[in-house]
Parts: sequence; structure tokens; C-alpha cells
Amino acid sequence: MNASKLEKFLATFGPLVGFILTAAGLIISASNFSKDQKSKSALEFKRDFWTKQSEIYLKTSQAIGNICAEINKTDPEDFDSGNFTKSKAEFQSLYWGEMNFVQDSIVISDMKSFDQYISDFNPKITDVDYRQTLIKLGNKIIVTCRNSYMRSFDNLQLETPKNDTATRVVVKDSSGHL
Amino acid sequence: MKRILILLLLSTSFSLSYGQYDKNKLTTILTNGTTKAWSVKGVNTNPPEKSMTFNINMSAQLQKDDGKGGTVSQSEKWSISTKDNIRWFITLGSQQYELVISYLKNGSQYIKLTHPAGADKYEISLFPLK
Repeated sequence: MNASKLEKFLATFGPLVGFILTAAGLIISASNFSKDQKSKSALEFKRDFWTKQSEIYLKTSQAIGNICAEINKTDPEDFDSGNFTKSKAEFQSLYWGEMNFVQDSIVISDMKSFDQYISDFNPKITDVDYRQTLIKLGNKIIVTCRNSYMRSFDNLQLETPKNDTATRVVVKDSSGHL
Repeated sequence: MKRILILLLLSTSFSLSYGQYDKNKLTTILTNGTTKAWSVKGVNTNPPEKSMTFNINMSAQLQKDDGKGGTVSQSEKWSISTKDNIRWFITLGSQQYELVISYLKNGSQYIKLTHPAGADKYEISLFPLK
């Protein structure tokens, strides 16, 4: 009697339980897929941002490098005013524009100081302190850009999925320590 | 070995200190070794300070607009500081400014003082008073 009741119960509710289990499996799979997609989209966005950031840092470093190369010319006769003016314009465009996209406060703060120096740089002044302070500030910005770039790459790697194979990068802080 | 080490240390400290502004050089520029007076001009602002005199004993006299067409004198303490030996800051009384040495087209030296942060960010220039 009991066995026939159990059979009847299974015959009635068995398909329903099966349906519920299948539905639950589908929902969990869909949810996991959605989470994966969101995570991949976030990672892709971060990669795009990192690429853009690296372009900005590289352009800034190039502009500063050109400016410092001109400032390093001790003979005013060798000073290429055209190259200096062009690089200064590039630097100021980055400082007022694209660098704000990255929002790196340390770099921006140093760039502000650099801008103060180059805005009315006088190539006729041969004062070594004046020129070397400017060159050292330029170098400092380039190093800070590099460190920020490496740090953001390191942060990017921390969020990379396990199956993604990326090389580990050693990051140095501003003082050069590992 | 010891001599080599001492030579290395000396050359390192020389290369670090040579060719950039330091506290002594900036103090000399500001005070001319004893005392020096500077006129104050605002950049996109009208500062209350009309002139500043920096003394080697780290005191300063500020001539400020009294709002009635005259000036009032105010004594303050000043000091120079840095975090990286590249960017320099001057604290004048309760105010801190970033200090940048600059030159006019005619080659005369002047000083730019900028509030480093905050909503009340402004820039003033100091020109030597003759």
C-alpha cells in the first residue's frame, strides 16, 4: 500500500521536481554567465583606460624630454626656439587637457610647477641652478608618470581572470625601492 | 678602500647639491644675504600685500593695503621647506606658497609665489625694489 502511494507521489511530483531543478540550473548558469560578462567588460574598459593613460604619459614624457633637451643647451646660440615653443605648447595642451582625464594628482601637481618655470623661460639666462632645477623637475615628472603607469598595470593584473596569462611586473616606488 | 668610499660619498653629495636651488641659495635670493625688499604684483588677482621685506633672521615685514588708500605694516616669520629638493615652498606667517624663481625678458630675476592648493588658489609675483 505504502509503495503504491510513493509511486503515485513520484509519478505526480517527479516531473515537477525535475523541472524545478532544471530551471534552477539554468538560472544559476545564466547568472554566472552574466557575472563573467560584466567582469570581462570591466576588465576591457580598464585595459582601454590603461592604454589611453599610457599614451598620455608617453606624450607628456616626450614633450618634457624635448623641453629639457633645449634647456640643457648651455650656449644660448644652440637653443632651438621653434622646438622649445612647439614642445611647450604640447606640454601645456596635455597639462590643461588630457592629463585631467587621467586625474593623477601627483603628476598634475608637478606639471603645474613645471608649467610655472617654462611659461616664461628665458634662454639667455645661463644660471645653472635655474636650468638644472627645471631639468630635475622634468625628470621627476617622467619618473612619476612611469611609476603611475606601472602601478596601474599591476592593478590591472590583479583583476585579470585566472586563465589569462600575463607577466608579473616589479613596481618601484618614487624613491626607487622595490 | 676607506678612501674610495669617502671619495664616492663626496662625489655623490657634490653631484646632488650642484646645479639646483637649495635652501641657502633661495635664502640668499630672498634676503640678498641680509635684507631685501620686494614689490608684490598679483596675477589675475589684487593681493592686499603691496611689498614684502625678507630678513636673514627669518623675519619679514609686509606692507598691506589698509583699504583707505594707505598701508599698514605687519611682521611675520618665514621659512623655506621642500619634500624632494626640487620643488620649494615658503611659509609666510600662516600662508604657504610654492616658490618659483623666474626671469623677465630683460634678464632681471623675480619670484613667483603660488598657493599650492585650495579654492583660494592664486599667484603673486615679487619684483626687487630698488
